Amino acid sequence: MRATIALLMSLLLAGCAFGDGRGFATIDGTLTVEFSQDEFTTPGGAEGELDSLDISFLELQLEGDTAVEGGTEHRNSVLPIPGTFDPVDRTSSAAFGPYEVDRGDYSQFNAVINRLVVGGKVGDETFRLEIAPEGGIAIKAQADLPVNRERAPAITITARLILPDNLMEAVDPLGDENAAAAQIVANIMADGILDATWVRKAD
Amino acid sequence: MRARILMILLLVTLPSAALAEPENPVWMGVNAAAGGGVGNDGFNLDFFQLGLNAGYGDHFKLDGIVKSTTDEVALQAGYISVVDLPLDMIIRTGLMRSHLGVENARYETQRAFVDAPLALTKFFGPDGHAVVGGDLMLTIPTPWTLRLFGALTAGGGAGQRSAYGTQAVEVEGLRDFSYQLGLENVWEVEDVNITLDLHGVFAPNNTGRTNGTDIFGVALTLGWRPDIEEFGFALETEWFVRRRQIIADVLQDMAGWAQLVLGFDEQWSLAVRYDHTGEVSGKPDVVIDPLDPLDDEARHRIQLNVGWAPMPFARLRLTGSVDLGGPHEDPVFGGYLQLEVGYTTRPAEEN
Repeated sequence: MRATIALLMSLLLAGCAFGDGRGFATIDGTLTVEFSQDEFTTPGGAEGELDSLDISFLELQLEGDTAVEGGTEHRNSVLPIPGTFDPVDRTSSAAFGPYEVDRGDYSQFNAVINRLVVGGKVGDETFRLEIAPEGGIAIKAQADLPVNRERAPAITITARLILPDNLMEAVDPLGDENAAAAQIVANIMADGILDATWVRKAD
Repeated sequence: MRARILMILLLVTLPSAALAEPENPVWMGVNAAAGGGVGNDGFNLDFFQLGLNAGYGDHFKLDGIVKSTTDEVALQAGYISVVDLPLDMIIRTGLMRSHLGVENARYETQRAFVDAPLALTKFFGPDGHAVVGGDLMLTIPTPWTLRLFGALTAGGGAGQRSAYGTQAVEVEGLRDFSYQLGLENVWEVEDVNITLDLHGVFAPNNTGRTNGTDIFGVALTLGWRPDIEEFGFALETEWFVRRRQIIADVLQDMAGWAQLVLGFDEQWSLAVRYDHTGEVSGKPDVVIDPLDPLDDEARHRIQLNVGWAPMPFARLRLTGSVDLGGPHEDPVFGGYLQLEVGYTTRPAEEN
């Protein structure tokens, strides 16, 4: 009898809503930013060189349509990325998570840069461009990452954002700042590569 | 057996009074509704219910209620009871209203008001805490009446709105069921009847792999009516606290109601009810109620109901209401005029 009561109480307590809730998966991982071409040529033919490239991220996103009662619902789960990255002359990486994530049939993986500060020199002149477009710069990759009750809930993501070698192509950092910033954003959107792999394991 | 009309409606405004259990009854309610918060405007068939009762020997009973509206026909209750056991134990299994407070166990014709309290519809579902599973109630010998009850039911279904709801979920373990515990105290002192009900529901919810919902409730009633033909009253109140785990947070809110029902004679009654659903609280910067994203502010509703039962088998009710807050930006006024009629195959004198 006591054992029955103890079992019942433990079941009840196990089900009690004491602490913060969890999602359908717990995600952690590492984001690495890579950049290998710090020398560039301006549209006017001048030689330039980057000496800093500070990047901060709004978040990583998992996006997809998910079946719900009566139809589908678009889900966008966010994974905040702390700190800043500076990949000039080195590999810059940081760990993130763990974060609790809602269920979803995630089919897209986005890295959203919210601020980019480019510093360097052209000839003897130094420059510093600060780029913070509204909504951020989203670099997207296809994914196939279902999160639900049936799948193992612990997910570790290894993500690489490879900034393009032509980052400064058609950019005149000593000219109009807005035009230079817009061109850098366009270059990243066109040729930046996001590569992500993940492994799952039981909780 | 000659069909006779059963007097089933007169006692229903006094919750402490025992309601006759008619054999194979039929109930019908027709509404004329206007204003906000009362469902569809105009004439509506609120419900058409067919009750089925059967007994097998001394210990087994089968009860069922089929409820029909103009939109759907659904089984409202269908359960087997094992009764007349030691400690007045009653074991039920099937689809049933749970032993949860006061108002949840009542069906449409047993309620003082046309519609259910907001607390029940918001926390449990449009038909209250109607669940599929099994429960047990027994009486502990004490100077007053003390009943204990427990239930093990499915975590989903129409009455599990704060749990899995109507979404299909595969059962993977004991965590996927809903548990209920409670106790009911009844004191009867001459013509005064007092009840105190305490209970808790512990269920999973579908916002996460291991998230749960707890609902704790307390109900208190005070009734006095020495003679059905003379004045009497019932004062009732019931309050719930709900805690729901969601991703990275625990949402908490409360809801409840209080009502006073006055019975003047066999025909006339007057009732007033205050309904409340509370603001949803959680971590300050992220409080989004996944169940009711547009109804997470405090809501107040006051209803006044006049009942007239000119015949034993019929009742006419006029209800007016004002609704403030919640999903409404401005006060919303509404009203019902409802006619209920009842019928049974069992002669009235046998009840």
